[in-house]
Amino acid sequence: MERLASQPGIVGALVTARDGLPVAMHMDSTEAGETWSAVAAMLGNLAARLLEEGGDEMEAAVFHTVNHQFVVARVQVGFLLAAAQPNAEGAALCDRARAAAEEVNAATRELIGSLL
Amino acid sequence: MRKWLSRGAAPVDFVAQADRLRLQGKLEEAEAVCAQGLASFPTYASAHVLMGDIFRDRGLTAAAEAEWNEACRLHPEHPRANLRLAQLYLARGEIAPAMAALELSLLYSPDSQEGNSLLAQATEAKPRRLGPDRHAAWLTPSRFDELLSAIGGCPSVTATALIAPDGEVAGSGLRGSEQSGLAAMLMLESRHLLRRIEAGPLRAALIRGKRRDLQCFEVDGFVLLAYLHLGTPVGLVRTEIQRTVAALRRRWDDGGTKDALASAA
Repeated sequence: MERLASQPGIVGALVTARDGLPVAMHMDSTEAGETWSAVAAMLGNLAARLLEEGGDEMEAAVFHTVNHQFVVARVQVGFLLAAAQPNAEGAALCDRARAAAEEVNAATRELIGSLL
Repeated sequence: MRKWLSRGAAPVDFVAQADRLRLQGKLEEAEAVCAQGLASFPTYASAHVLMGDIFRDRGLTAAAEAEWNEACRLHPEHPRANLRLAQLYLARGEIAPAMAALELSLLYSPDSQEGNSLLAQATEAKPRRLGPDRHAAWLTPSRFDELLSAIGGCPSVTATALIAPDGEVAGSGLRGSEQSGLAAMLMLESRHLLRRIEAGPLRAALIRGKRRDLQCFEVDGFVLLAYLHLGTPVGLVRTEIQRTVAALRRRWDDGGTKDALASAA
């Protein structure tokens, strides 16, 4: 999360479980992180449900607001959120979030492997 | 499920005591107890909900709304805070935000009698037909098909739909499994959630799938959905659609001016 949050234009990053509980975060404050974690899970669940209803599977969703851009990418444990400045380059942002999601998945697999 | 009280010791005592006082009609005492507790536990969302209830009972609606919003800011999915906001929006006739708050509330308390009864009321209150007075001045019902067909003609777009501000489908070029209702719900709820974290108004959402992408735009209060060819660059489709909408508006504006001039002549 720290590596992702240090990328140009990105202001914070976190991984949340599907129920909104924070798993890992790199944000300015813990309180903001917990709120954003819950919001990320809700946005991710809604977007995933939307595509699943159409027989597809969600990879990532980008929400553009006046103050921020949010990328929510799917990971094994739930969702990854990258919050960026509103003028950040969308495609690059999406690619970085997806690459980070891959890293999170690899780390999860490694952790599960070491526990078994 | 997430705990509404996530940090520190559980200060449930002051909330129970303040609520008892509220129910006995001792509103000033209830407020004092709750305020004192909140001074020690400012991030306790349920206490903010109760403070909102106390303000509501005292007839201080704006202060009540601020407390319920604060509870939702702390815990966006708090069922009771969302329920209170839904009641307030519904009383004001703001159906779309009421529905969005209710969806959140019922997501975590699906069996809530109060929530389900409010949802029935909100559904009942939802206008069945689109009235011309609720449309943006330039986006009239007679133009929906033209707009959808123009957007559908963009190279990146495979199918489109237009959702009115109240969640009704105003026009659709979707087929089979393409979901306009769910997409409208996604935009309404995202708008609601993002407002809670002070992210500002939602302009657009892009959902990338394994088979195709879906872009949702705000167009003068309407939600425009566009299913895209897989891998369409994020910026490209936005530019294509914005240009198409701008060109249509220019044409309609020119037509309106010509009609007005003809009438005047």
